[in-house]
Amino acid sequence: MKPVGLEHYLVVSGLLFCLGLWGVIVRRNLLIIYMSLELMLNAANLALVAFSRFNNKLDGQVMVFFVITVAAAEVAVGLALIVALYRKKQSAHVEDLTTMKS
Amino acid sequence: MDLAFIIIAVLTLASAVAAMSLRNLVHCALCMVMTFAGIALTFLQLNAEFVGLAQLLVYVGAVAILIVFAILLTRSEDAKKEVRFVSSSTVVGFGVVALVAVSLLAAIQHTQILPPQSVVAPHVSVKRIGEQLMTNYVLPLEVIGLLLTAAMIGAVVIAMREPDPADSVDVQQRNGSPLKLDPDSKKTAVVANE
Amino acid sequence: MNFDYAQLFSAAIPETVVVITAFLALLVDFIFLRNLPARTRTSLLATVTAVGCLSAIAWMGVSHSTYRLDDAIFVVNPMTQLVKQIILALTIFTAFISVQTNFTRHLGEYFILLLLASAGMMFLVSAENILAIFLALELLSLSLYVLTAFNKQSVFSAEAALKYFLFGGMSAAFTLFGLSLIYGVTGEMNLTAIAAKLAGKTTDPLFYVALVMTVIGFGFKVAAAPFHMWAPDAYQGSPTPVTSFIAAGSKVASFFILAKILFTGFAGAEGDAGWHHYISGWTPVLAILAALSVIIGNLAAISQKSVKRLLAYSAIAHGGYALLGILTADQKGFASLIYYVTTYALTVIGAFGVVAVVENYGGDKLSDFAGLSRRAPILSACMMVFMLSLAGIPPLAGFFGKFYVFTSAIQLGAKSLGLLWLVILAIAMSAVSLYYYLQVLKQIYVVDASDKTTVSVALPTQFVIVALAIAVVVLGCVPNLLVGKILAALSLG
Repeated sequence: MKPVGLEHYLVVSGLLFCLGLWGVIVRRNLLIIYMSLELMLNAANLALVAFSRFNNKLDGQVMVFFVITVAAAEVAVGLALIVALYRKKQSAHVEDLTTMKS
Repeated sequence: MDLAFIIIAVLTLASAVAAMSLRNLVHCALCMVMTFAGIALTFLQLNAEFVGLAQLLVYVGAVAILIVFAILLTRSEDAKKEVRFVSSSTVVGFGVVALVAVSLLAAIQHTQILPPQSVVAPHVSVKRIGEQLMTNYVLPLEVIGLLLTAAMIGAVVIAMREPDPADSVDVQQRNGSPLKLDPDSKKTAVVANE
Repeated sequence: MNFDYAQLFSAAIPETVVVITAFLALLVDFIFLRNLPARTRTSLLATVTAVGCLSAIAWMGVSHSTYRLDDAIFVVNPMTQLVKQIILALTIFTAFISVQTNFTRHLGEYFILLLLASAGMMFLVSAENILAIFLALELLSLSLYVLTAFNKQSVFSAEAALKYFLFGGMSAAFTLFGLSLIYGVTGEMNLTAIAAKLAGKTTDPLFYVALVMTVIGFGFKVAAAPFHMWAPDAYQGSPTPVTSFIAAGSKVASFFILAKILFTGFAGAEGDAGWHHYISGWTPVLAILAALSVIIGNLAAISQKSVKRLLAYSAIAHGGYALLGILTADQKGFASLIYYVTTYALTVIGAFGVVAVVENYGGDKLSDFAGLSRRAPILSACMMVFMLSLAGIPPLAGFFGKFYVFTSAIQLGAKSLGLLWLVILAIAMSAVSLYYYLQVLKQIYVVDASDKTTVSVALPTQFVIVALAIAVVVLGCVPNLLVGKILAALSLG
């Protein structure tokens, strides 16, 4: 058997990214869409860490550290937005985001 | 191939599939936690202890709990609204995702430009990351501080309950009411004097 | 371990000044202004903002240092300083337009976020490193999502913010994945080093995937079709000053950084946009985006009833013209891009300023503009200047911007005929665009008003709108005022 190499990690990361994209496009609940976005960011993180390991470089991991922080900040803002919208419309569904279509 | 890698990868991907397809929101969130934890384990496997633990703390700890809170805050009779049939967005979604997946996997398969893989992992200690953060990356560190400030202020302003214009009229009336009562109380006082 | 903090600090003084002003605005609002009437409060805070931004602009005008932090995380040269000055000027205009509107009680928070967004743009302009670009972009975007949601009374605002947020998150994910692949294949974070490593290997499939993903991510950011779905709703739902900021400031910064990534990072990977010799690279990808934006933006704008929505579609179309400037991929094209985006930004802030005033008397529907020329003659004259400039009518800045972009594309096309079809399409479509801009002017000048009250405008807002109209006329008549500066900065940097 071949030892685990960079390609294998990249395949996992690519699949996770596609799953996240699938969730964003197909699911209707805002929270699930939101989780799918996080999944896409995580896929990118996985690729970064794998590259950092196999290129023997530190900066990929430092970048992941920053991305995790950014994602946490996005969570705060995103959930606040969802809650604020829920207060107005009593709904957390994409179909209800159509008030402005005139 | 490493058995541990296969197990973790399969678990991560399977829970991600489950999170994207289950109908109950809380189940989705729990599957998502599994995925995040799986990714954290993969980080550990890649000798990235610091980032792996950060992932565990931030995602499995904070983000997951926040999401569950948001689910509880916004829960109504949601489950029945998520109708499952082949709608146009499913078809489009399938097309787009298939396109991305095929091109991505084919590219990974056929690429020639990946640099030679190093056998040794980079020596990453918390000390080295800390030194990097305080020297080379000190400006990004400041920027992330500003970003967190903006996010905090923003989240508070957005989520804060705004008094309705109608409510504020109420408040004025209520503030006004002691004044209205005043003559009455004087009357009663007068009555009492008499 | 020697690290020169003092040098970094002195290079980052303008950003520091802006950030300090941001916190000062919040502090001043909390301590002194809470009990004043809203309009006074906004005027005072806008003044604080203006003083801060002006001193940063002045500092950049006086000091001519260049600086390059390790790994190109922070780069200062005449070009970045010029773009930062433009961005700060746009921030000041936005701040004064806010005086006219009354959408929130949280004014201190509004101004701190506005200024933090500007600081994000400044860091973005100075970044030539994958990590720094991503972080600055996120600082900018997060602040803008929050600003979009600032009108708590309106459902539109919450909805617009959520849409903007979801599409923005998607854009960030695509950008990050693309950039991480590029980091993977090169092992480098800084754009110059990436270009050096990539030399001669640009036909590899993995690189091409990374390139397309990065461009898709930025396509969302600059609202290029077919990634424009969020823009009309976000523009319509945001409080009007925020809309103008998204349309103006954010666009300048995003186009600048996109051009920088493509010119510096992917240098030598341009390919060719001609139909016949299809070579992989970023030119064909961008050419498709530009063509779609120009067509979809202009055609969809025709049927709009809301002026904000109309301007949103026109912004998509203008994004398409600006992409044409990037496509030329040379110094002249770059200069034309900066001139084009800057004049567009000035015009669109002015136009949204007028919308903000009219909105106070009803809404932003086309019919709300009926008979404005009798109710507010000065404002109407300014609106005419802005609309005609957006349409590209000769003596105005919009005309020269388009002219400059198109000629630099044609000159390049003369060598290969590659871009000629796109230029012809763009010219045809800007003729179409004249129709809907004239629709707005027809409402203002021809149709009779149902409501005859004269429109009152806050003094600072009126001043800013008139100043912008004058700037649009002057920059159109004497374009060398700006072009000369851009070319000088380019040759120095």
